[in-house]
Amino acid sequence: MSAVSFINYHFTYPNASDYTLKNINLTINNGQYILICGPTGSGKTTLLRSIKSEIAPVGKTQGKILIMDTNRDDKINKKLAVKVGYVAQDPDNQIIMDSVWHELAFGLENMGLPSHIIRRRMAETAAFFSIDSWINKKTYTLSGGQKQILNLASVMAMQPDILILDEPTSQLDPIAAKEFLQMVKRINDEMGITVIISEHRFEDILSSADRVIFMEKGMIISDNPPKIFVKNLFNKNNSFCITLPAPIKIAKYLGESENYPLNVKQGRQWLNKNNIKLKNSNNNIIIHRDRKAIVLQAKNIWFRYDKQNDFVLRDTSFELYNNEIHAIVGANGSGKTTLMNILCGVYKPSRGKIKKQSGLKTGLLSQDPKALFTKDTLYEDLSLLKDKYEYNDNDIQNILNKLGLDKLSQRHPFDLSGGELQKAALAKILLISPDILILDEPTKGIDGIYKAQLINILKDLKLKGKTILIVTHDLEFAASSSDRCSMLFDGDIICSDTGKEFFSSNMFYTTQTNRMTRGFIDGCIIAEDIKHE
Amino acid sequence: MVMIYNMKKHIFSYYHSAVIFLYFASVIIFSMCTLNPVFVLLSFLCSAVYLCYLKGFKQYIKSLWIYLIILLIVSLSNIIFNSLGLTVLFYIGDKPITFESLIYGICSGGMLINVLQWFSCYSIIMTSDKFLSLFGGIIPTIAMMLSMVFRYIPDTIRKANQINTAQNALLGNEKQDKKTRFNQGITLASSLMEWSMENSIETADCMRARGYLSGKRSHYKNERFTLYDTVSLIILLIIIIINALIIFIYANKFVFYPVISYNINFLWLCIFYAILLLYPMLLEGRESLACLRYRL
Repeated sequence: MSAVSFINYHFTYPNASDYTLKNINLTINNGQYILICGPTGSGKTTLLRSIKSEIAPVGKTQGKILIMDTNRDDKINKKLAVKVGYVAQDPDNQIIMDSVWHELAFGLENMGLPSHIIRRRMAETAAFFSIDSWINKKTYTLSGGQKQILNLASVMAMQPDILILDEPTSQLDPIAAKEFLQMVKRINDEMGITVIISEHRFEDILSSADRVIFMEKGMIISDNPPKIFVKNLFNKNNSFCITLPAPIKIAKYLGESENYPLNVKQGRQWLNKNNIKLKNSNNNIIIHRDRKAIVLQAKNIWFRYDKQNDFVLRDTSFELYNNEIHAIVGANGSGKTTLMNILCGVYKPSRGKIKKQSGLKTGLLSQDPKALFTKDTLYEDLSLLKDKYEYNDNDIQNILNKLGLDKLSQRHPFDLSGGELQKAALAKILLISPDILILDEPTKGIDGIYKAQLINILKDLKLKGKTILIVTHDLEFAASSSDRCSMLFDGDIICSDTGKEFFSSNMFYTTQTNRMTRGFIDGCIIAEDIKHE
Repeated sequence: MVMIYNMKKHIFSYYHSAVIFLYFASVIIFSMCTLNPVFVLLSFLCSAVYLCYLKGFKQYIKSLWIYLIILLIVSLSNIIFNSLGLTVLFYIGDKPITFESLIYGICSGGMLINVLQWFSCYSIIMTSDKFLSLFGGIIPTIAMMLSMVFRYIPDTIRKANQINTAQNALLGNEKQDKKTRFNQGITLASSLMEWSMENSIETADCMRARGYLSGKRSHYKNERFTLYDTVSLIILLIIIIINALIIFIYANKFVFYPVISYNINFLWLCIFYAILLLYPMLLEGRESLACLRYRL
């Protein structure tokens, strides 16, 4: 018996001219761990949602979908809601109830189970996902990572046979994301539940997946085990290659063409075996900076939200020099976003001073781009500040073209996907064109292709004389884009260094490339640093 | 900002909501049923002690002056509009001010204060959660809706803050005149609405994905009725019956007009009333004793 099978399945959204899913033939066996990937807009979400009849997209269909060998659309099959579990992107919107225990009970109540069985299932689930310590909390007090684990747990409490996850970690920070993916892996390993997941975060998932299904333009291009998937992708020279994790890229550059290492461990083994002489092409340039070139400075900042709470920032000092790209990294809750808001003047520090070079304008792009859009179409929204910031329709069109948003300009901002919305927000701030650009988590929810594009945009802006400050969890992104890096820990800036220096002196808090090549060749930060001797 | 009291401290809040509800219902009803000065005073003292315990002495003193104003208004209006009673203290114009109407006024004012004080204790111990788990079984759909609302409100406040900060920050927090600020407020409200509606579509999807409306729903109760709840319930029921008898047969024999007359031989019966009123405090005392031996 197969868990899910698509037989000649086609799908078209109403009013759309083209197929969103085209000729899908796919059989997923029980207990497999399936990774679905592909560029934005390739139909991954539509495919995943089609499996679950309650939330399947409405439109014209051809062919059929079998779930556990019964037709998805059979009216008799009401129990399917229980058989297939679904976790979506946004941790917030999936929470229904006000307290954690009630959230866990919600699905079980819908199944009509009596209280004593619900209690038992809740206890089991809570123990497995180690949420027992916060089971009596209110859901709005949880962190994003906890919320997403709760969503997973509430779905698993219903004991499904198939688990579907649609980019479940795109809104989480890397630590929470890793934790979440480990949970998913455990569910697959320890209980043999079929997992179908779409995910941008390859480095954590590629080595554990049984099969990788690669989609483009609504079609399944390849369906292979991870190593063969990587090989085929390189052979076809697909633009999607850029999103692959660093160990694969390094091995490819060093001449591997068959057996690619999928993670850091395999990468080190691969380096060991092949014994290649390496060279570090990364010349660490020490830049002497003039104190006069400081454009934005925080001096001994103390900040807290109210008197009952602890200080979020304690005696934090920070300098931003003219015309640099500076990245601040640090764990969740270390006060990064707070520091940003203080730097651009939205929050006032309890003690300490912010000094800004006079005449310079700052602009901050917040984490959640949805908070920025107020108009009915993207174009309207972008033209909102036209007069005040002196740009015209031409500029808007140019920026839309540059970011590949031109086809979406008449859409409602909320109808855009996470990555598209992030781009749209960037367009908005680029039009306002502040002298100091502050970006809060610009890589949240975007794929590798856009990430590479974003790095180019930032470097371009630097050439035009802008100063850029990035707050990010994404170390790979920080390493490849920034001139200097700072680490915020426990409310204070622990260290500031030039980017390369910063990452090569860290052991845990560093990029995959550095972790893979440490000991073989020192000081390599990004895949491009490594050269044959 | 609403103060959140540390619930974990109070042993009474660990009891089943039925026990808690029974206690407060009886205490509030009894407080409303008698004007006997001794019983009113007792109820006042006990509720004050309990409120001090729950909120802290300082917080209690802060709220006390409101109660005193109520007391003053009620007793003054009784003195002025009511000239029953024989013991005349003095005259205002032609109007005799009597001792009896003064006492009556103070007692009815005191009764009002007592009810208010007990209600504030009630609101601290009987949280919305407890209320829902007690009455949710009767109308499960409404209980579920309320639970959703309780999630929705803090979530929306957070979103409003987020939109406001994000939009200010985008423009580097420039100073704005009143008109732009006003317009900004309107856009904030409308985009908050839009955002919430957008999100609720996703939430609705998620509810269906978890089998909502796929069949008959059951109602899960998180609370269990433990042995101690049973014991407390029985004890409470017994004291309540005793007190009902005392209050309606004995205490309400108190006569204010025309002269205050009262049989004080059975006044010791008010001990039972004190036991009922102080029931949660007695539980706390027992708890402190039990914990005493673990203290250094």
